[in-house]
Amino acid sequence: MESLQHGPRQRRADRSRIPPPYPQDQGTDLGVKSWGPEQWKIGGGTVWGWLSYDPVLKLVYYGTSNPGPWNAEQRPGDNKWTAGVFARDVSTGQARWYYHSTPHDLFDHDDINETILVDWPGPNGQRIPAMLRPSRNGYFYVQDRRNGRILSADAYSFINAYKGVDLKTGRLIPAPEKEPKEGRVVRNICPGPPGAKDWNPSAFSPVTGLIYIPHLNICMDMGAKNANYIPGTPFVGADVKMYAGPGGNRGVFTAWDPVARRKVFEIKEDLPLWSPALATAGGLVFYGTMDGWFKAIDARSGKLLWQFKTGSGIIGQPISYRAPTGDSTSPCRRASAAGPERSSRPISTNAIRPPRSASSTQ
Amino acid sequence: MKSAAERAKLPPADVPRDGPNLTGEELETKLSTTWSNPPGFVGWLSSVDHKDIGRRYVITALVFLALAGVLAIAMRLQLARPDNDLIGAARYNEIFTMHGTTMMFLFAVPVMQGMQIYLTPLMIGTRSNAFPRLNAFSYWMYLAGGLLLWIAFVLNVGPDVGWFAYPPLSGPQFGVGKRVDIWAQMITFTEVAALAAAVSLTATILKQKAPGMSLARMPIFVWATLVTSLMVIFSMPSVALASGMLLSDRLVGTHFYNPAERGDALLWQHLFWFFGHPEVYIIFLPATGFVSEIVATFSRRSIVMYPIVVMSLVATGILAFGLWVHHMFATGLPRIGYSFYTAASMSVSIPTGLQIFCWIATLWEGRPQLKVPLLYVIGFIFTFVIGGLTGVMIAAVPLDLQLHDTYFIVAHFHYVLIGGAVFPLLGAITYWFPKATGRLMSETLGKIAFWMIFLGFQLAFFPMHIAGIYGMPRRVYTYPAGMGLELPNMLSTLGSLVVSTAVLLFVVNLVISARSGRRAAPNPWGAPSLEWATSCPPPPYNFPHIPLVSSRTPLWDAGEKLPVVHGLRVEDRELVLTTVMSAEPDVREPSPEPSPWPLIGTVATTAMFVCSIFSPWAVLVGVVPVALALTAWFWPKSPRLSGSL
Amino acid sequence: MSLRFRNSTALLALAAALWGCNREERQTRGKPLGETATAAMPDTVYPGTGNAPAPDPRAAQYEGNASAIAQGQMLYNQMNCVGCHFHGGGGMGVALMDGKWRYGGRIDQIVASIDQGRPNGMPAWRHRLTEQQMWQLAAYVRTLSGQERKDAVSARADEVSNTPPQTQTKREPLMPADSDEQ
Repeated sequence: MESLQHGPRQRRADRSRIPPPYPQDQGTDLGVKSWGPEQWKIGGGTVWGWLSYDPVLKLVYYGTSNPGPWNAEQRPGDNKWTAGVFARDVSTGQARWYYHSTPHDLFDHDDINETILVDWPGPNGQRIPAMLRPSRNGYFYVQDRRNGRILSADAYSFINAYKGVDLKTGRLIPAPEKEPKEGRVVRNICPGPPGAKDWNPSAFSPVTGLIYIPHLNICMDMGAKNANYIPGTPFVGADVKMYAGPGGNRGVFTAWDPVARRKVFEIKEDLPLWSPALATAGGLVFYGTMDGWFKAIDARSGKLLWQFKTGSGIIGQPISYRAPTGDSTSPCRRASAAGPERSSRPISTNAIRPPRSASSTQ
Repeated sequence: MKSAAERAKLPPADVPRDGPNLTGEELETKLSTTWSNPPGFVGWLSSVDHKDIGRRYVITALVFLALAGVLAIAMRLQLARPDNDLIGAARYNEIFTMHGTTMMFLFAVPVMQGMQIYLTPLMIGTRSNAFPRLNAFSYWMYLAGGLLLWIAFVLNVGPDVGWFAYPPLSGPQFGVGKRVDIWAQMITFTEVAALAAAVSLTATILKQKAPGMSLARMPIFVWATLVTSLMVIFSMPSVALASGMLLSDRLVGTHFYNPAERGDALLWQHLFWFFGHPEVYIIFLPATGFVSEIVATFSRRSIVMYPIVVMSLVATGILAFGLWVHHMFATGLPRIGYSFYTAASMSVSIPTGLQIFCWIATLWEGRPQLKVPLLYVIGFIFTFVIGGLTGVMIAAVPLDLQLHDTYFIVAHFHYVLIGGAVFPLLGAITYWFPKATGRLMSETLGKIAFWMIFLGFQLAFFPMHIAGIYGMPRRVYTYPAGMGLELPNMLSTLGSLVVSTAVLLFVVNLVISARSGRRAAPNPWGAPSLEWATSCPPPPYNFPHIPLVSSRTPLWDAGEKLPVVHGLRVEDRELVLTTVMSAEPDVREPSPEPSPWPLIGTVATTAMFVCSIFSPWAVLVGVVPVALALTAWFWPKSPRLSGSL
Repeated sequence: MSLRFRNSTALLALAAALWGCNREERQTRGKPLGETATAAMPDTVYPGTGNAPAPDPRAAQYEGNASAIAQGQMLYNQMNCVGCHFHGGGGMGVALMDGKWRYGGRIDQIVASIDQGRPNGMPAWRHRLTEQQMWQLAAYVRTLSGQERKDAVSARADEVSNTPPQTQTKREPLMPADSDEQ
């Protein structure tokens, strides 16, 4: 199945203008030209993550996945329009803007992570419609969601694969010594292929103003090799060995202040965190670990208030809702990893306070 | 310290010792009893007599030469015509691997060491060599390694990755099965054997020279043996390490040669060639020793500029360790390294050239007798110089990049190995045959064999230069028609048939002459060195009295009777040790009796090594019998010697 | 026992240990795809511990054959088996280094799985691999769970190391097909 995230303009139902914010995204037929001949046809770049919708601007925002194969030597060029963010008009489908987070992706750093739509305090006191994106490549992007311009991009995790994001050109600066080459093994690349954070969405609390990011601390050794394209089989071309990054813990739960652009607190977890987060108005944040602990922490300090051992590892989204019994407690449900919901009744304790409006976007 | 005069006094009369009172036939009977092997098959297996061991080495090595030669004929028959299908590709790979491995590890080094083991004690005037049981162990380990390789070949488990087995082809992923493991373990056997023999020879030469035979009076062959043995000691551990690491990679998945996990395939090449280049000089230097002895004898004068020849030997031995990268010019190492190794490779020809000029000068100054050994020397000079010239050619990197892995290289190394080692060896066998057997080889048959080998060799190997320049690669089982390779290959095949016939003739000469050749006097060639002072063949005790040496050519300067020293026991095995530099008598040292423990130790070690091809636990389990055998071997004997030493 | 007899029996034992048997046999390349009519694999899946179908006669040729296993290892990488099954640990595909074989772990059953494809994503490789290649792959796959003789497997590939050396892999007992496990 061919993805529509690259290829000739005609496929993407474009009109003549896309006003991308940065020069490297401007041009015609970039979805073909930024690949080797015909490679865009087997180039990956699917959409398998989260979409957000702005009812005022009437734009839908989503990210695209990594190019294929992982072995980047087989696909020279920037490989548009993979590993970037699109904003499309919801009624016509026309792309309003596109930002390429990870050009010529080397490490399976797709960009399908969630986009959290917030009103951002501008420098002159105005409110800018912005989007917050803790991306796979380890940078926390704050972008103007009208045109995609980067307001800030800071590393929220340990990164040595990139040197930073050039705010003037908007381009990610790779570290050349970490570029995988066929026949050679490049060691200690951080973050690894699942990224600094994988698909599991973070949560924003308007009460504290913090983003709660459950994410990973995984680095890798990568040996690139020539991949054979066989339809129906994985088209990868890399031997990857993953291990814990600095500190030895594979997972970390970070509370990030997007305005101050810094980490407020973090909780180290032994196992990688693949569960999404839930922030409540009552000042609690919920998340789960891979060995089944469902935890509630204080939203301001990060102190562990309560935890419960479930039957399997947790990768499902915790949700909160008001039960129809009129009970003033806010039950919290979570789905554990192994399939359909096992528990049929809500879990509630006296420790959970009455609900206020939970404004996490999902 | 006693003065020489005091030490030359009559020996104490506490036990029977050789001297003016005990000499002649009575002495010889007593010495024979002491120094002979026990009777029977067990006695034969337990022998620690260096002459037995040297003879076994040489005969076994000649058998391996014949086997490898048969493989060579098979290869030449396959390559005689383009697109031939006499031998398939897989089998051909096994054949050239076995040919190279057998020739290098099972023939060339062992035959030289065998000749050294046989001749060195005789040439320096002592009764045995140092560590005779170690010497015996060395032979049995060599035999075990050779049998391992050849039995494996016969059973379709022979190696097929070339005689130097580069990873990753020889690594665990691409070297499938156990073939390469058997090759690598054979290396361990032959390396242990060569090391053991080298240690024994070095100690013998340094400590057991006859009184008065200072280092400056040693025969040049003994100098060559000393330099070679030291080279063996420094280079063999490198290949043992390399093959051990290869076995470890293949058996338990270590990553020594895996570039993806911080190993390096080039590491093998460095370690192997750090051994491999000195190895060819280990083969060549004893041959130069043969040549020096033969030239001196048949020119009827001592070698011109003895110190220069000795210094050349030493210089070649040292320089040989600085050349190995010339086997790796095509691997992409830094260019400044290549320049250094080009210079070193070219400069190593200088000492050898000096030796050649000394020999030519000796022949010029002397009165040469063109007997068969001298014919082989002349054939050697001609052939080796051609090989050396092509060697200097390919020492230049640009030329080597064109010629690497082509038949030009094959031609080069056969010229230097056959010309430089086999011709002197055949001459040396002819020369010392009367000493070993008491009979002379047939001169006529010898001359015919020489001319056939010499001319057949040129026919067989000169066209390979052409084939290589035309681009024929090494280790290919066939080649297409129309590339100009048919004629050189056909000529090579014809030449190889001539050579093999000639070698057969040589062997026939050996066998017939051993049975019914002309009886030889003790010194049929009129040679100057000490081994000719005793009977042909030598008695088990070599010399009834230890000679006293005062010049480089003792037999020519001796006059009627060779001066001797007295005082060694006759009813126990005893040697006299002398100082290293000036060979003054130092101590009397007992010499070990025949013992079955070297053979038993070999069996235990063989079991451990062979089983470790299949399981790493064998190393732990197998150490136990080896330790037991070594303990029995070294168990202290009750003191037999009494009285003053 | 005399030394000579002891030596000759030792030599014979040595010879027996060294004998290549099937391990060292080399196979020449099979016919190309177009010329090979892939015979339909007989039905190799059977219920419970009932009567197992007779093993395919080709099994003896490929099992424990070092060159078949080495070829299978290369095909495993080239045919993207690594992408789903990784180096035996499984991922999107099932783990191959354990003892659980839903459709059987005998070599002919594995060939049938490769040939016919299996539910939940295993492609059918018939007409895309020759029979010889499928048997080689199956021989290699069996080594991932330690089913083959240790002297026929290679300890490691010349690549990033992902598993303990295969010469040390414990042999997993083959279980009958688990029909109740989802």
